[in-house]
Amino acid sequence: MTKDMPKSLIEQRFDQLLLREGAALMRLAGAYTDTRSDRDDLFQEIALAIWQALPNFRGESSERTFLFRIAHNRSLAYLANRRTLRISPDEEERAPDPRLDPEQELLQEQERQQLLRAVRRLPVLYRQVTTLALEGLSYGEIGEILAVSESNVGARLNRARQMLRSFMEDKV
Amino acid sequence: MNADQELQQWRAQWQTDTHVPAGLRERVKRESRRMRFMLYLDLVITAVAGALGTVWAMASEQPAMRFLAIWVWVSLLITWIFRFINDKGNWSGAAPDTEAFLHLSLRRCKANLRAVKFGFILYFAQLAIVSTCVYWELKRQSPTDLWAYLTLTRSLVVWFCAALFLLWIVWYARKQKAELNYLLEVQRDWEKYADEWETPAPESKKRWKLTALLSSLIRDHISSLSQLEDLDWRVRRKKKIWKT
Repeated sequence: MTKDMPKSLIEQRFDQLLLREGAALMRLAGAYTDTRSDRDDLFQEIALAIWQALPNFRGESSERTFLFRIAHNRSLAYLANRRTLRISPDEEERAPDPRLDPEQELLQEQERQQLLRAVRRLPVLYRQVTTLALEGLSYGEIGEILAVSESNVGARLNRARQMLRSFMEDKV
Repeated sequence: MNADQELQQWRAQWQTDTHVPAGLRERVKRESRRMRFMLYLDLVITAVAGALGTVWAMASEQPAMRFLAIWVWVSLLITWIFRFINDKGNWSGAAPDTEAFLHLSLRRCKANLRAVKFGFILYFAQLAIVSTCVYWELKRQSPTDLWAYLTLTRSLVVWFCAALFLLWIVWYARKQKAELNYLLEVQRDWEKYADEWETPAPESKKRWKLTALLSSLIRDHISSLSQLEDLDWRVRRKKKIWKT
């Protein structure tokens, strides 16, 4: 994809990418923010950065790597820029899943919230590697995004998992 | 439960959230247009300030006002030169990865802090020069007491704006310093863990590294502190790439 590409084609590509990876990027934004409105803000910033970078994407890496790299960079900048600590972060509201019964839905939501809170407590270096691993990216892809070796990814993820486990046991 | 099963379970829990806000493309396009407008706004302000200064000087035909018109152009020139030097190399990172972005963010943050100092000095220099010129011109036309001039309604408006600007600049500098400290903290962690977890380079590679390091030092132009800093980072980055 080059700068000569017609705008309509870029728009189409942007829509496709967001349709495919939007939910993953939204979850990633949620790991770096405390409230729903902050998450939406960060997601919009990520989308804007993707929109601006898309005409320069020449396929040197996979589209997924490209997207997550931008998302992580934006998230880092967002953290540095708006580091507002909230004592009691907003609980996120989610549309109910029609496939599940309300009890199952509630349990699932509680587990997700617990995991999300634990991920948010991780230091940034571990949070990066954890969110990418939770999205199912390989060590190679994570290494490419963060510019670290696969062994480094493995070591970070291992340490992050220990921390996550202890945070989840805390039930905070 | 083994580690892989645990990760799989977390992954399943994590991916249950599939919410994506609607109408994103339009909002993104709007924001993109706004950013482009802000970029052009600087050029418009330069042109308007320069033109107004010139027209004012031509209309008044007074030496103080002519001096002011020249000063407006000089200060605009100084601002653009400073901006060009300060923002040099800060538009995009050396590589698209997180480490390069972190380095770029640090450079941008330091550049913003330099811009704050520059803005502070320039604004108050501007204020002093313009006030002196206007006072001098008023005094030339009719005897004016300094205290009376300083307490004129329009002067009070100017002092009020200056105070507001001072407050804003202090707030912005504090925000930038907090951002810089946070980024430095992340960078320290990044380097600490990167060194801890990487396998050490073999002896032969170390010798090659030293040669490459020296040639890179000669190659690069060391003309300013920021370039030195950048060079140091690039050398450390090269070392890290060789290790991996």
